[in-house]
Amino acid sequence: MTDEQKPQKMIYGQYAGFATRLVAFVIDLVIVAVLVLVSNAAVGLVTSLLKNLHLVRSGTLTDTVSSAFAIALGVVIFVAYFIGFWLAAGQTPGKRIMGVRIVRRDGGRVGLWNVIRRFFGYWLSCVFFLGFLWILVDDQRQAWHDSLSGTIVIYSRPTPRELIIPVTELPSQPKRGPG
Amino acid sequence: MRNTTDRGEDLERLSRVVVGLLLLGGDALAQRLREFEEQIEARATVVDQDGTASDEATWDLVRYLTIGTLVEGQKRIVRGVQEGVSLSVGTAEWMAGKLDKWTDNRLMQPVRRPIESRWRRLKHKASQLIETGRLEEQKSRLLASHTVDEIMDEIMAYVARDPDLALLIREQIAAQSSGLAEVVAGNTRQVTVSADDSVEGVVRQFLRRKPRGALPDSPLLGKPQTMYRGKTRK
Repeated sequence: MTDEQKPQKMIYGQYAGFATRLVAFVIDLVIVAVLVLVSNAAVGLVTSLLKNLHLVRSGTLTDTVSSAFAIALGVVIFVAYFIGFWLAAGQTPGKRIMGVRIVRRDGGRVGLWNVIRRFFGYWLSCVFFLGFLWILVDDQRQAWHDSLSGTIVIYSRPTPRELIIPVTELPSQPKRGPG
Repeated sequence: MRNTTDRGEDLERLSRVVVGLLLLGGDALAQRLREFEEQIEARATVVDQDGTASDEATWDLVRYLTIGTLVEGQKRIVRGVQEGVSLSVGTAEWMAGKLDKWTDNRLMQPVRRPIESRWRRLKHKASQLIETGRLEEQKSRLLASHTVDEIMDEIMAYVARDPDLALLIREQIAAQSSGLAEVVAGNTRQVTVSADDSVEGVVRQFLRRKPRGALPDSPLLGKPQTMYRGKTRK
């Protein structure tokens, strides 16, 4: 039997696995790191302008306040990035690139409560990364934060082979994810 | 048949050539930009001495103002980024100092010791990697330079013999440059989808669990994913 003749399992809508989700997460971390760096640069720029214009004094207090503000802004960006994208599109840019999406366990779109529980579940999953590694052994490839928030992560892009499946075999032609 | 070691070495050589090409390309581009800038500045000086500024219309002045603002803004952004990096480093050092102070007690020693040991190993590894990188950069530059000289001559000769091929190449480059990122992302997706199953297999074997077999079907398997289109929720 040649490769062409082998039956291919469908992955569009199937539970997404560890490697894909890990790469998506790493892409997201890189994007967030860049955003935080840019925000820190903006804080640094404003601070230096204020110092140059003698609107604030140069000293330890200014630097401490500036650092505290930069940290707070970083945290806000981190939270807003994940919660915002999950809520709006069910996928962060990293997940979109890797072709995966978060949905409720019943297949519906995630709500605010799901998203909040998922975000806090992330931190739980971070304990020795056990929660993330759980994807490898769970039947529905759920991490701890997925179980906690009642969500699943599915593949949102058909493979090239699935794209050539006759239209009649699918309920409707799958399209690319939303913007 | 070529074995895995050969393929690994080929890949290593290929990576070296790619790195070298990037370095050489970056150097060449920077050199060109410097030359252009010098030429432009020389020309601008000549214009100033001729005193043509009085003939400039308001629109010209607005254009110059916009360009000047962009250039000045860019300089400020670069300064801002530098300040930001410095601030980030400062913040990280401040946090590290505080953490060091808070954890410098007998209670935290069992936690500190393994972290410090890993940190030392990490630093050692980083210095090794830096040294490797230094050597590899030189090798990559030489290899890329040699490869480019050799291959370019061969390609140019080949393309020159066939005008239709030259035309085809021009069309392909124009059509595909925008789709390159999508192709890379698509290939990455394919690799990771395969890796999803194989990693699970390895881990399950390691944990002495029975192989997964087939995954249970997800509720959305093969169905259109329209839940995020429009405002209505399912």
